[in-house]
Amino acid sequence: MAILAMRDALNQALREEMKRDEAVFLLGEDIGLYDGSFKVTRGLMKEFGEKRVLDTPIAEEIIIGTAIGAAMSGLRPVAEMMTVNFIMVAMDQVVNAAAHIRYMFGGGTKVPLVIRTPGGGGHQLGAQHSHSHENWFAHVPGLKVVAPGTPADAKGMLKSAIRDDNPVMFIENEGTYAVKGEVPDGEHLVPLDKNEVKRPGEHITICAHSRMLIVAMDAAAELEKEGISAEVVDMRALRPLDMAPVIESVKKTSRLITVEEGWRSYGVGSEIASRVYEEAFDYLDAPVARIGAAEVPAPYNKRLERIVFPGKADVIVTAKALLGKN
Amino acid sequence: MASVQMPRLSDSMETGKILRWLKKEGEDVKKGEPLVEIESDKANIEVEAYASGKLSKIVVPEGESAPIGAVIAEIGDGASAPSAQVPAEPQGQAPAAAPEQRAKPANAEAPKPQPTTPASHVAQADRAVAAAAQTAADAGGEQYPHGGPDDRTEVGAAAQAALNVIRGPAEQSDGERQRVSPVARRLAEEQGVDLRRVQGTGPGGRITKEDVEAAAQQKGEARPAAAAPAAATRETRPAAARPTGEVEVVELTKLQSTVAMRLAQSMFSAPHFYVTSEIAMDDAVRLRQTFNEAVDKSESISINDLIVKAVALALTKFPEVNASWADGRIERKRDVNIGIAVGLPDRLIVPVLRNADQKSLKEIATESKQLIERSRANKAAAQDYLGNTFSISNLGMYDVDQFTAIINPPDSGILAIGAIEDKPVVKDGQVVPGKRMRVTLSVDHRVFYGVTAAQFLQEVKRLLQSPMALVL
Repeated sequence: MAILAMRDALNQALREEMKRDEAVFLLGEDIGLYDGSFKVTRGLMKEFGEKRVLDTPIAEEIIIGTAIGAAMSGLRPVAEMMTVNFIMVAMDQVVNAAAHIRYMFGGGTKVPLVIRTPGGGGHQLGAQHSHSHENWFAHVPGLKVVAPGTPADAKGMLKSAIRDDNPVMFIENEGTYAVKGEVPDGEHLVPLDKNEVKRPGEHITICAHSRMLIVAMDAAAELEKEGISAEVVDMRALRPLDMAPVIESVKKTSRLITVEEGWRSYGVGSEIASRVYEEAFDYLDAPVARIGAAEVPAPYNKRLERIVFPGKADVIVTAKALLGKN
Repeated sequence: MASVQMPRLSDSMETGKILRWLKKEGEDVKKGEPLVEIESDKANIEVEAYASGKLSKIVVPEGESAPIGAVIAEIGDGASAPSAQVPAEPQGQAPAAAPEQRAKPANAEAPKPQPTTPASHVAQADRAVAAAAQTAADAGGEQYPHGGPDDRTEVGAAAQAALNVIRGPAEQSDGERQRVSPVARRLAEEQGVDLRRVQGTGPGGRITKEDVEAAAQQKGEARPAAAAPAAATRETRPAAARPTGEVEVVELTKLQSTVAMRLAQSMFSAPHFYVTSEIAMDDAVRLRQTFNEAVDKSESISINDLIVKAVALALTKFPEVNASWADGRIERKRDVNIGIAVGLPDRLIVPVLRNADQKSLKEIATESKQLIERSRANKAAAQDYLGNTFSISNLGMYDVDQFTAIINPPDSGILAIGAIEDKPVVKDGQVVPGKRMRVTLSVDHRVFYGVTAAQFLQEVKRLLQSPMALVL
């Protein structure tokens, strides 16, 4: 068990899978010579050569289209979109092709493809470069969507994603690449369809994924000091969405907060709340509280940006309000 | 003298590595000249000098790394201007605001102007950010590499929408509709709490789980004391004082509605007929006494346990009784699961004792005790009420001679048990004291008929009259 930053845990997963299976190859912008914009692919071109780590032109639709073709031909491509903001020009490939091909051919061909891409805001990169789009992908049957929030899960889920025979949207976060945590050595696999309680508690349930998992964990630690015991459920598996730990938790706590970095409307929290209303309505003691980015294009101004994206203060005040304590 | 600090060269950088010093110690440096080449986590970048003077000391040699903000060299001849202290500004980045400013609400009073030059203000801010990053890195993981530590304490726009929902609209107590959370509503139904008498303490006056629990507890405590005066009032109240035609409307709980619906459905769809039999219980009563004298009180058995066992054994011989009417067919059940009707002041429930035919008397006694306790305490699980194949309703303890019961679906029979009575009986031509109990079997005539019903009762009777068979 080593302490690794998220980017190094991802790097380890890629390296191990490329060694294990020659069909695995990487493609994306600046991932080879430049080691990747966020250094996730550091050293891989040197180690595996230019045939297995492809530096591509700045043309997202071509990157994903190429990856889909390769996947249908028996390879296991891992495509990097430098950030999730750039994938919008390739949505036709992701949705119309990657997600649907296996179904449209009656299962005759599969698309074992991983698209790695970081989302998230809060870095003063302006409205166009501050998106969180996991809900867009999680809307689409045919895609699997995961968004880990710890280095160990990042490694374990990326390895599982590469071995999966379906297209997997592997959503990372620009704000978590330097987050460190214990990562099991070698063969560490985390299922793509299992969410889990990351911190047990009694009074209130907080659901979060990716960077917001860290925010939720921090808020839970603060709430503990004030005598409020919060249970944090990591929603790393977004599609298929594993609700079991949430339902179980809500039956215990009767109160739920969802936290996401993207906008609330039509968001991850909306889906979680709907499922809770369907499956545990009679256990709720308050409406489900959804926390998400304010409904504006992300501002560039530092102070405005800090108000727009959720932080632990937002989770704390919401938890107390739900419990009638402020 | 000016310190050259490790600059922040990328958003996610924690430390930088000195690749090459472009000036030697002792050499003169001009502001803007390339000074050092640094490797960040993203790229190798040439960093310019931000002050002119002599490179008096290289603190971090080539090949070594230092965290953001650490001093990597000293420039100076003692005559440098204060502005010379400005460390490298992150490329393409606006200067970060100092954390202490960030912590204040956006609409708070503007910070008082500091008597510093703009340049030194920026330098201070940058140092503060660098120090915060260093602290975070030391703590084992830089969690917020971009915004600095998450030190915002005011509520952001992110939480506002959720808060509006939680706290609800200001107007709400129009008296029309009470705010009750779903879990509170469910608990109130289960525990018979009248929500109109509960004061909500949740956000917006909503009645919460805790409010109902408190009300239920109060009700439990108040009940014994309140019962007596109520009875007294009823007797002494003069009839004339009562307005005529007064009707008290009692709303049904969800459970009561379900019971009403199911019983009506049973009574009006299953053609019932009834067969009564009187059973000599002398030996059964004696057996029970002997048994209970031999065991601890906690293991004692009741007459009802003996009846459950006798019925269960009889059912194994009469599969046609252990059956259900199922849409024009009959389903015979292999399991013998006995429902035991339990009457509570505000509800009727029938917990189910599974595989009663395979259980010893002692097991039946222990298990039914637990089942009934769980049901009374409202702690029974859903499966405690599922799977009955035949039911028993016992009013013997209320001194009832005999009665008829309505079949508990999906069963096709229910046995109604009366009290054990001491009465004169004729035995071998002599009148002697005897203990007799009347049982009445209700039958769904679609499933089995009179002769089977009578034979089944004979078997129950045989077992209870020779109760050693129940102990084996």
